[in-house]
Amino acid sequence: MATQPDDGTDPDTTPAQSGQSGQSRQSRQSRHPTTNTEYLIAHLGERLAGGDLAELGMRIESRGDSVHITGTASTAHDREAILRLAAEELPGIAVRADIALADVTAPDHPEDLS
Amino acid sequence: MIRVAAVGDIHLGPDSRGLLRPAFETLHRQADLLLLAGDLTRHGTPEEARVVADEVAGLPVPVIAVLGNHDHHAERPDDVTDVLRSAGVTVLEGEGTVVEVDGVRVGVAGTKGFGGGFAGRSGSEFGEPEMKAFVRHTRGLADGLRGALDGLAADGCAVRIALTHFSPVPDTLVGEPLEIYPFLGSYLLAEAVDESGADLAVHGHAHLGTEHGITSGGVRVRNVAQPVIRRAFAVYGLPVDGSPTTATSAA
Repeated sequence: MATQPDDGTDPDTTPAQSGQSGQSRQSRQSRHPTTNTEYLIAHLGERLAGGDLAELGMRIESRGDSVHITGTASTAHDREAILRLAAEELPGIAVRADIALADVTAPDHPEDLS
Repeated sequence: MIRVAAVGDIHLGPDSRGLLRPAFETLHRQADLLLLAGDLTRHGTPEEARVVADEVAGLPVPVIAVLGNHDHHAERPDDVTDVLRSAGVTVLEGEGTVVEVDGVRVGVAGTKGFGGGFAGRSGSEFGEPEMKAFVRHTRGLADGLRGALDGLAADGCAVRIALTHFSPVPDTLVGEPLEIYPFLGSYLLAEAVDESGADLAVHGHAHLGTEHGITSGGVRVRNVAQPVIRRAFAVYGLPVDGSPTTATSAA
């Protein structure tokens, strides 16, 4: 389910340019030589889960010529990290991100379960 | 009325220290207890657990937790549990605990739970050892939940709550891809809740899911994963009728 960012910004559209060095990009491509978007999306999901972010809550889907990422990040720093990894794992593919930030305010009313 | 605050999937690490504390410090005004529905850390390290412990230490309401899959990732769940307990958190796995609220005995039974899927669309204890172990793990944890709920009934609790990380029902998964439902919960948890009876079942785990659900036996279910409730915690008001809940009255 798509969610709107809590901070009022428009969903990001990031033309994916690799932030990696040529060396690390080459070694990654030799391990994962595919250009198949479906597999690239799967690799991104594995990398988000296995890295420092331990992020398993993003929905990553192919939409036309782009990849759409939706979910909720704990912090703005995490959201930036997710977008950076997406750019690295999806070279040359437009990434449309709609990642909300977690709301850490107290609720203003209870739900009465009577 | 018993006021139950609950949140799961807060995924705290060193860079999120202090994030939830301001909201938690308002708890005494709006809740009688706080439930933490697992995935409290990112990788399940004691260092991350210390961040969680500091976030809830000294709160004026009892704090009761179960661990989630993230809290097991570093394969140090006992260490995570010890750190949380050192801050006064009651950590449950196949156990129950009782808190008294204005003379009312409120019982919470907890387990992490696990996956396997939902009735008619679930895995079975069949085939490879890995598959059998997967389903047996869920069944064992569901049995623990059932035993804990039964124990709370025998202990005279007027209100009983089932606290899990994985979901007992598919209702609260709506929004997640259907294909991953078997990794998000199991009907075995709901069956335990319905057989033993409860006033409320609370879980997390499904970030893209839905807050409201109900078991087939009529027990209300709430997915309190923080991305779902979109607050630091949710609060549910449970009525007290003075008689212990039974499976029959819950259904």
